Amino acid sequence: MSDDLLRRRLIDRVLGPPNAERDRELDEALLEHPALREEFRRLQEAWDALDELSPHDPPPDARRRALEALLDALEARTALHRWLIWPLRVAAGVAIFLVGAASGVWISTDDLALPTADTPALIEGDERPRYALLIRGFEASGDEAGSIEEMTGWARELWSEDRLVWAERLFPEAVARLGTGSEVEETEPIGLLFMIRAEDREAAIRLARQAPHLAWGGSVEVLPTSEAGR
Amino acid sequence: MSELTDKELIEALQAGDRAAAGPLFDRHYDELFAFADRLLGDPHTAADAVQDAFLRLMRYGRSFSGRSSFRTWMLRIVRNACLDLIEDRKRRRDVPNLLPVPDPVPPPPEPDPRVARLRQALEALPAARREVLLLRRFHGLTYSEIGELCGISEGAARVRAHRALLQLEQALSSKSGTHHE
Repeated sequence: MSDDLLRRRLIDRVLGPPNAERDRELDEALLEHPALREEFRRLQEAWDALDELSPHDPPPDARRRALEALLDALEARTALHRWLIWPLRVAAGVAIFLVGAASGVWISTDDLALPTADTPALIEGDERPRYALLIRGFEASGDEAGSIEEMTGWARELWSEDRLVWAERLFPEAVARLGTGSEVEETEPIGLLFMIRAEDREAAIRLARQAPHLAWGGSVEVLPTSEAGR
Repeated sequence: MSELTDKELIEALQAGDRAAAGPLFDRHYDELFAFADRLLGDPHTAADAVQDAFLRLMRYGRSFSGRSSFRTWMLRIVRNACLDLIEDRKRRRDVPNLLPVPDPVPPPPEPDPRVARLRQALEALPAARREVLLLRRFHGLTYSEIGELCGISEGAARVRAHRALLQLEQALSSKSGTHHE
């Protein structure tokens, strides 16, 4: 067994869990090599020392304040739902009905989709620079339908604030990387591409930080367009 | 309420039931605070991170599928809140203060020098290694769970744990004057 492999197994043993076969082989090696015994002792001591690291006590009232903040947020959301969401849904339903009836065609909810690159949301006279948000890992919550709903909700918020110019979903198919020295195709999950307007880079980053999927381990790249570089 | 599962409590909370908040706090606050405190080394910031995590729970609770345990899921949210705070700290250090900003409340002094040395050695680890070591030592997570929580592979979680332990051992040995190459 090489020294490097021995060392890795030594660390595995300290970190656990126990493994009878590995530990038996290690015991033999430890008997043969005093230096390895010494290293094992030091690693085990460092690992055991962590036991002394009891957490601080929470600041007084921290727990009560956190609970109150949660209940306040719950109350605010419930109030919003009660007073805003249902009237808006009813209004949207009436609008769909009227437009559908007027055009002689029923419009499905799909037709209320977000602006896309083909049909961007343009605001006359808006000269704020554009930033592309490359959104990865939004499906990592393990609940794809729920994740899409959260991300769509966020996109709608951006849209309602006149931030979102367009949004497209990027499908996890073979991605061609060109011009990187070696042209390759690889399959990787991507996610979404949003084009937004923001006053400056800091504002774009602040908006990107609100992406719901950051809470479950996703990422956002904020890419300035040429307008932002002027 | 206290007999409900975590998933049922979150669903109740999402539906606006205030009574569901208490049992969730009772079950998880202490462990989440301990994780944040050890990761950040500061109880005041840790309390902020946990509070922020519970607020994020309100916002993203619907995305909890129940595939992983609620505990692991919340640890991930607390971890993200902590990393945001660490990032904020770095940014504040990078930006010159134009106006006097009050210093944050310092953590209480550590009376035991051995523990103080340990805290210092732990804080010297990169956050990405420190979190893996803490999750393994104090929360008993498998490498697979740690990988899922940190958004890395199981193998990468194991490698980080190895490096973290080696670095911690070297830091403690050098501080105690018994460092060996």
